Amino acid sequence: MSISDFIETPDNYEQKTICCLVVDVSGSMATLNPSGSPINQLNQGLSQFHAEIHEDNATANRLEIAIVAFSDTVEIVQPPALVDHFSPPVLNAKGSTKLVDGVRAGIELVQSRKQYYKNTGQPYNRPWIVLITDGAPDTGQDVRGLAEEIATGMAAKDFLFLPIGVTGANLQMLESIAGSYSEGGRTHKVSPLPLESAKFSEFFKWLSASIAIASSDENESNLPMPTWMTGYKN
Amino acid sequence: MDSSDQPINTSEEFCSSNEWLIVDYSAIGKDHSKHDIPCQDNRYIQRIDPQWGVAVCCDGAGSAEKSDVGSKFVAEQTANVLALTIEKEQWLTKNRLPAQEEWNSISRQALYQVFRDLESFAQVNNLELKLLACTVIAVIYSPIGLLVTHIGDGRAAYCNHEGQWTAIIIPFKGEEANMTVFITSSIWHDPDKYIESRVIDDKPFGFTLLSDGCENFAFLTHVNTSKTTNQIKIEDINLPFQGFYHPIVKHLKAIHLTLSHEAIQAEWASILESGTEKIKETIDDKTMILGLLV
Repeated sequence: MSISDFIETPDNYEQKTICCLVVDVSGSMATLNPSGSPINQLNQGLSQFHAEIHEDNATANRLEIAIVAFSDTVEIVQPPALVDHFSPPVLNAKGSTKLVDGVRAGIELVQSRKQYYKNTGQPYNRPWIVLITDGAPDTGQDVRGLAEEIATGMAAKDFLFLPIGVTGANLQMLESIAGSYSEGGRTHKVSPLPLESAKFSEFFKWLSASIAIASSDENESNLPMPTWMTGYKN
Repeated sequence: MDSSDQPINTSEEFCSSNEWLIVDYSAIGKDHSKHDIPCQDNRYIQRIDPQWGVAVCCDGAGSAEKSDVGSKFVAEQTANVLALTIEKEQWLTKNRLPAQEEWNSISRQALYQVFRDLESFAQVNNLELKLLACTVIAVIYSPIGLLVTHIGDGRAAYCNHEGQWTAIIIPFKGEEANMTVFITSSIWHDPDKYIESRVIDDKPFGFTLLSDGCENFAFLTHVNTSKTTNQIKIEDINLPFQGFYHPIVKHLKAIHLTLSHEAIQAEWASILESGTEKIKETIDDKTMILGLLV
């Protein structure tokens, strides 16, 4: 018998981090490329993301995932839940790109979840909203208004917004809505991160590792390098 | 009653020579290790004699690039400044501790001195002060009581004659779980709000200081108090977990009789690295100092 056999540890209620994935499921996500279609690669990536979080006990008890899918409609495919409480969804691509409505639904969802954490006394970390799109918003979508909402939310530390542009995405538009965050007394502009759809798997691996770190010590500057980014050289 | 609620040591078992056995260790968090991030915690023990001394635990801000450097400097300098204070105030020679108001004033002056020294250190090394951000918890230990002061989060506790552990600081928490203040923060205009200092004038039989990375396995911090199934009402509490401390205290006091201090330190390091699965799986850096009268 060693001392380890006698040490007891308490069952503390774990602090929570919510990560809301706002994903583009418009028709263009079904377009075939040499390595398949983005929607299939996204589905595989989501499944792998789910499995990796599931295998990491500490993160699995802290990280709640929500998924908002947008095309010509917006649907909350997965309300906030720990990975042990849901199976990864299979998304289908069709229709147009109501991107602004999708991101707004994501913002509303994380704000509502934060209020729930406050009401129930649960400690929480800053929510993440991760937008994944391969296109541009439909004509008439209020991109400028959304940019203001994101800028205000980021400045108030309501959430961290991370736009991911899959091959074909309008990176200029994503740049216009990406906000800034303050950390260690400095302000950092967030830039949209370009992603080849074939690297969805690598992206989700990075995302699970990054959220694990951020959920432990609010430490965005220490996130691992995004090696899945187009043009990244290690 | 849970076994962890039962004090396992009586005051007789705690009877001592009034000398302190102190173990200390910093373990890098699981995810910091995986991504080659340095351990941002530091600690420092300054023994004045076998009975009196200073122990300091600092946790570098995750968001500050050089916080490992800052936490090392602040831990050492806080210990130095407080050791000088003990001498200047003649607490050891007169075998007395200050009253609460006096300690409030002295501890704030001491921490402010450390802050100014850190500013000078940053200037000399051409570093931005904010990059050195860290928390600080310091205790002056003695056989007649403890003086504790701190900025930021982390936990501290002491053990009384009945073997019961009680928290002696309240961690400063922001709206989000990992938000706190640092010695480099804008806190000096309102020290009442940001610096907590306490005199423990009960004879201590043990004390502990820990960075927040350790609190999930060494303290009860958040408990669901809802009496309704499927409902959540979390209460923020601050209770050293007796089931963690009691067996460790018993073990260290036992091996102290036969092993060298280096061997005891190695045992302590092993406990903090991987004493249980929960300890091993901790994501954040883990620093804990444990002092026991032996």
